[in-house]
Amino acid sequence: MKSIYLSTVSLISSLGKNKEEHHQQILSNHSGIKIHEGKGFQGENLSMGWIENLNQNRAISLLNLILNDLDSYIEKSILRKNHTRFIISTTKAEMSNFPNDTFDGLIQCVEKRYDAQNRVYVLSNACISGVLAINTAADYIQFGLCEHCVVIGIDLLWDFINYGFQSLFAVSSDICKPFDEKRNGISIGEAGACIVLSNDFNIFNSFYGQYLSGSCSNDANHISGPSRTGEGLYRSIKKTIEKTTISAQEVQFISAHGTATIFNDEMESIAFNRAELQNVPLNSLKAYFGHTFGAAGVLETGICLLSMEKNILYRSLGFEKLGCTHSINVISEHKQSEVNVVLKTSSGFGGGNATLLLKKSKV
Amino acid sequence: MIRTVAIQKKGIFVDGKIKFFPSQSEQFLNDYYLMLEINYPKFYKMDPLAKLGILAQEAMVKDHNPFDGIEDDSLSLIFSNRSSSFDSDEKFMYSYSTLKSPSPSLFVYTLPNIMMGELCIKNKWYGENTFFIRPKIDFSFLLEQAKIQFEKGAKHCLCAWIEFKNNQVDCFMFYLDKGKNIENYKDFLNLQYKLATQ
Repeated sequence: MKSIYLSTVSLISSLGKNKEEHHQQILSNHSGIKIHEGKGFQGENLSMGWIENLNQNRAISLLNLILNDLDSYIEKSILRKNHTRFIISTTKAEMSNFPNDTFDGLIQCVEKRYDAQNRVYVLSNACISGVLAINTAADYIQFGLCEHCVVIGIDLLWDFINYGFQSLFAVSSDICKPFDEKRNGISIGEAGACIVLSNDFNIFNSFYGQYLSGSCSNDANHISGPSRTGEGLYRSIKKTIEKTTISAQEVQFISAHGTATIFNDEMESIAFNRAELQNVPLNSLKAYFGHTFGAAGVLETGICLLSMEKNILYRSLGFEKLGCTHSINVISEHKQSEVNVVLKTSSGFGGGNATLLLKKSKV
Repeated sequence: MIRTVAIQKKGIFVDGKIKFFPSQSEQFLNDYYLMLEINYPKFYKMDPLAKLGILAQEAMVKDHNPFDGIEDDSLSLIFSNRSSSFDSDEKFMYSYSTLKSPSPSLFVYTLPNIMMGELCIKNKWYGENTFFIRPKIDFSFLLEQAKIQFEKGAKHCLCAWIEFKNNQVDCFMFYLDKGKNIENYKDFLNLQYKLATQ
């Protein structure tokens, strides 16, 4: 097995526009989620994590910010070479050109900038897209299809998403409360995030971690409702851990999906118990910037790397008292701690569950 | 073993041979459901993409079922198309912009991976699912992804290109057991696809 390293290039959400801003805002217990007037169906107010100051074509505008970060972090000659691939992880980005082609604008933007024809892949697998894209990138490197892989997570809020989740009665009226007894739905959010994976850590000029393994598993249960037994998530966690020499007891922190719907968080608590991870400190980051869909896995893995870099377990904002039938160890206060082995999980519509395991690289 | 199914304008092809001709009705997907003698009433609630996934898989198992007796997590699904969930996206947009009533039952189908979820539910498959948006059908790409899945431990792969837009269908699905040099299937697959589309 090759060693694969990963480093965060870009984190942009309603909470901040880079790593340091996210770190500071999280430490200050701030949330980027607030009420936005008139964004809901028929002009209702809607609580959401919205990124201010993007240009008119918001998806391209956000993508360009990410690529600017990429240019200043990774040498352009590496990005332009054939041994580098790009994966864009998204569900709807912003289909402002609908009914014309959905993702062409994003693809061309990357292709042109890095002369990357035939090297840009779009992965669209609902809310697990981000984790799945990182796993796919690691596979590409592991099996020699490329040396470096740039993973870009991007999704934006617009009428389609806003009205859709409103129609499901899934949106919390206030900032969401993952795993809390008073939770009553998700907060929607938008984000752009970028992580680079490589077999050579010398291409990074700041903190990097080591990617150990990843997998995904379907619940085979319901297209929009979580499994009652946490089957897919449990299987994916088990597979991911079994691929390594790490045991479940060595996992020091879980960055959970934690959408703050009644059934999702309950399902996760069951799966973590089945995997015997119920005592491992865990958080959901959704109350900081909302559920950012296709970007979530990339953004949140970026925050996991930040936890490792800063040696801090970030609290699960919005959580006060556990509201799941199975006991889990939700982090209620920021805590200084060595964070060496991290499990990131995600679950989504279509019954998908994807997980990955990271380790701190000893320099 | 390799198996193929194509659902195209000309009809349903199984392993390169035409098996069912299309009805002229706008409801041709539902007509195929009856022709294939499927008994899965949930089918009628699905969007066209998911219906195509179910139809193609049912056509594949009709005479000889390659999924018989496989372990429930040994099959990886790798699906792709160009226009994501275009048909459901368009209908959902119509529900809120024209009908002024956003439809939750349409909204849940506005993701292309839902069709893989439907197949997993129907067949109790717990393996890996990945959905890619690609500019066009690309067997080299699908075989490359299948090869990765096999390297990672999958024993079987179900790959597909399923596009549905403006009532036009372009669906090609193939099943593959783990084996060596699977990239050599590329020409065979191209030929099967050509047979069904030209």
